[in-house]
Amino acid sequence: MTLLDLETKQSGRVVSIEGGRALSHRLDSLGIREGVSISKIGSQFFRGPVIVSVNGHHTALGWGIASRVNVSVSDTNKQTL
Amino acid sequence: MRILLTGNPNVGKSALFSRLTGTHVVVSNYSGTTVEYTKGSLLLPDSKAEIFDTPGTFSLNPSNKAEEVTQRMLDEGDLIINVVDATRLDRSLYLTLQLIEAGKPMILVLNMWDEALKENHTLQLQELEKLLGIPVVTTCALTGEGIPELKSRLQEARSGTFTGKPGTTLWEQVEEVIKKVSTSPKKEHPLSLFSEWSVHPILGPVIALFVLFLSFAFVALFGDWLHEEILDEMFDTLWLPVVTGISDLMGNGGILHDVIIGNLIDGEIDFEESFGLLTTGLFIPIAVVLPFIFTFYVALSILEDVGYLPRLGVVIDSIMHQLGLHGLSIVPLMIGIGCNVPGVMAGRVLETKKERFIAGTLITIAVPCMAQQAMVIGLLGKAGITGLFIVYATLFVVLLVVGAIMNKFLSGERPEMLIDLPPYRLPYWKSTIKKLYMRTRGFIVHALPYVLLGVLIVNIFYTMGIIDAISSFFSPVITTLFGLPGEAGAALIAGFLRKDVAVGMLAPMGLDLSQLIVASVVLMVYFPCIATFVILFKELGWRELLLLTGIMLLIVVVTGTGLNLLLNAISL
Ligand SMILES: Nc1nc2c(ncn2[C@@H]2O[C@H](COP(=O)(O)OP(=O)(O)O)[C@@H](O)[C@H]2O)c(=O)[nH]1
Repeated sequence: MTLLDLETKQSGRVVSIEGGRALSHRLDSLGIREGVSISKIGSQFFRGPVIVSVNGHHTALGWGIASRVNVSVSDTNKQTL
Repeated sequence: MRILLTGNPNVGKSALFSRLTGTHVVVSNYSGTTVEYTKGSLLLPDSKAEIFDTPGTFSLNPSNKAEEVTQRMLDEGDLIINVVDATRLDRSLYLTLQLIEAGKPMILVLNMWDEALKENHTLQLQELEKLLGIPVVTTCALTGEGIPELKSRLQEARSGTFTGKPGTTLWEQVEEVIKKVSTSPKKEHPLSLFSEWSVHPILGPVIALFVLFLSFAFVALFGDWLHEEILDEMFDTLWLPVVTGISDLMGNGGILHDVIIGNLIDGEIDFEESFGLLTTGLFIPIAVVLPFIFTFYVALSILEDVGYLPRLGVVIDSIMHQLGLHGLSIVPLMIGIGCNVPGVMAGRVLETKKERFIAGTLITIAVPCMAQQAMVIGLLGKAGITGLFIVYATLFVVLLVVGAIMNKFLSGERPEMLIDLPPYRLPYWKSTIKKLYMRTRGFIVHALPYVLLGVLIVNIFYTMGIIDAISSFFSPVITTLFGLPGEAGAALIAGFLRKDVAVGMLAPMGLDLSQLIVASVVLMVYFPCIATFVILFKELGWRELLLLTGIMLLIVVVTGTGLNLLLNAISL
C-alpha cells in the first residue's frame, strides 16, 4: 500500500520509494526514508496533497509523490484504530 | 570576507540577516540563474564583511534550482553561519552534518531559542560544540538576543570535526548526535492544532476563504484610508501649488500644456479630471493605486511570515494542478493581484519553463492588478455589486479555462509539491517590512516609469488625433462583437496605456449595465500596462511573449463576444 491508502491518523512504516534517486533524495532530506515511522495527518479532496508527520515534523506531499511512497502497517496499529 | 547564511527554509535566516546587516541591502540574481539572493554588509570590530542570505534548503544534494545556487554559493564563501531552528534541531542537523563534511569554517546558530525555552527543550550546548567541533550560539532574531555574541564569536568559526560511525547513514548520525545532546520532551507546538485545521480537507478551504476575505477587507479599508486621508491630502497641499505654478508659466493653455497639465476644470487643476502627465497621470498611480498595492503587500507579507502561505498552497493544490501548476505557484499569482510586474518576477522561483509561462500568462490575463481593479470599480461601482460580481466571476472562469487549455497543450512535466510545513511563528516586523519594501519597489521602479511613459504617449496621440483614427479602424469589431458603441473603442485602446482616461471616456457614454460589464472584462483581460509587456519579455523571451500576446487577444475577443451574447440573452 502507498501513503494514499493510509487512513488519516493511521501510522505505518516507509517500505520503499519508487521513482528514482532524485525523488528519494528530496524525500530523504525531509526525513522521509525507508524504515522510518510515518503517520498521516490528513489529505485533500480531488487528488490534493497528503500531509504526513515524521518525528513530529509536518510535510505536504503532492498526490503523485505520495503515490510513490510505499508503506506497511503493522497489525497492532490496525487494531488501535 | 564573504559570510554565508545557510539553513532550512523558515528557520529565521531573513530575520537574522536583518539583524546583522545595516539598511543597505542588495537583491541580485545569481549569475546565469533566476534564483535571487540578498547581500548586505556586516561591520566587525576589525574589518568589514559581506554577508549573503542563501535560499533555504534541506540538503546539499542539489535537487532544485535554489539548492544548486546554495551549493555554488557555498563554494565561493569563506565562512558559513548555519542557522537552525532550535525547536526542530533534529530536522536541521541533516544539513549541518553535510556542511561539516564540506569542510568550510562554520558556526552553528540555534535560532528560535525563545521558543525552545518555552517548549522546554533542553540541549547540552557544550556537548554539541564538542561533538561537532564548531562554535554554537543561541539567538532569538525576534528580539535580537544573542546577536552580539554571534558577532563576537564569528572569528572562532572553524571546520567541524564530527565524523559519524563508519557505515551509518546521515540520519543515523543525526540521531546519534540528538541522543547525546537533547532530552527534549515530544510536546506538540501550541499552534499545531490550528496548523492541522488549516490543511483539513473541509476546514482548510473554509479557513482559506476566511483569511482571504479578511485580507481583502483590510486592503479595502486601510488602502482607502491611506488614499483619502494621507496621499490625497499630500497631493493637495504639496503638489498642487507646484503644478499650478507650472500651469501659470505655460500660460494656462496650448498643446504642451494639454500634454503636461491637461485641461483646467473651471480654471483649476483637478487631479482626477485634468488628465495631464503631471496631474492625473501622476495622481492615479501614486495616490490611488499605490495605497492599495502597498496595503495588499502588507497583508501578503504578514501571511507569508506567519507561515500561512504553504498551507494555502496545500489547500489550493488540486485546483492549481488543473492549470499545470502546483499549490505554491499561488504565491506569484497573489503577488500579481497587487501589481502584475512583481507577480511575473516572482514566477522566477517556479522550476520549469512551462510553469513560468503558464504563471506569466495567467497573471497578465486573468489576475487583475490594483490599477485595473480601481478602474473597473470606478466604472461599475455605482451600478451596484451585481456587475462587479459578474466581472470577477468571468475572470475566474477565464483563469480556470485558459490554465486548463495551456496545461493540456503545452508539453512538460507535471510539477508536484513537496514542502515542509513550518510551525506558525510571529513575524519579525523588520524583515516583513523589508519584504514589503522589495515588492512595493517592484511597482515603483519597474512599473511606474512605464505607466508615466504610457500617459505621455496617450496624451501626445490624443492631441494628434491618432487615438480616434485607431478607434474608427477597430470600431466594427467593437460594435458587432462586443455590443459597445464605436467610440468605446478609443477608450478600450487608451486603457492599455491609461486606465484613468479609459474610465473618463467610458463613464459619460451612458452605457447600460451589460455594456459596462463587457467593457470592464475586456479592460481586465487585456495587458495591464506596457511595464508587464517589458517584464514578460525579460523573463520569458520574445517568442513566448508573442505566443502570450496571441492567447491574450484571442481571449479578449472570445470572452468579450461571449459575454455580450450571454448578457443579452438573459437581457441583463
Ligand atoms: N519566536 C521566534 N520567531 C522567529 C525567530 N526568528 C525568526 N522568527 C520568525 O520565524 C518566521 C520565519 O523567519 P524568516 O526569517 O522568514 O525565515 P527564513 O525563511 O529562514 O528566512 C518569521 O515569522 C520570523 O519572524 C526567533 O528567534 N524566535
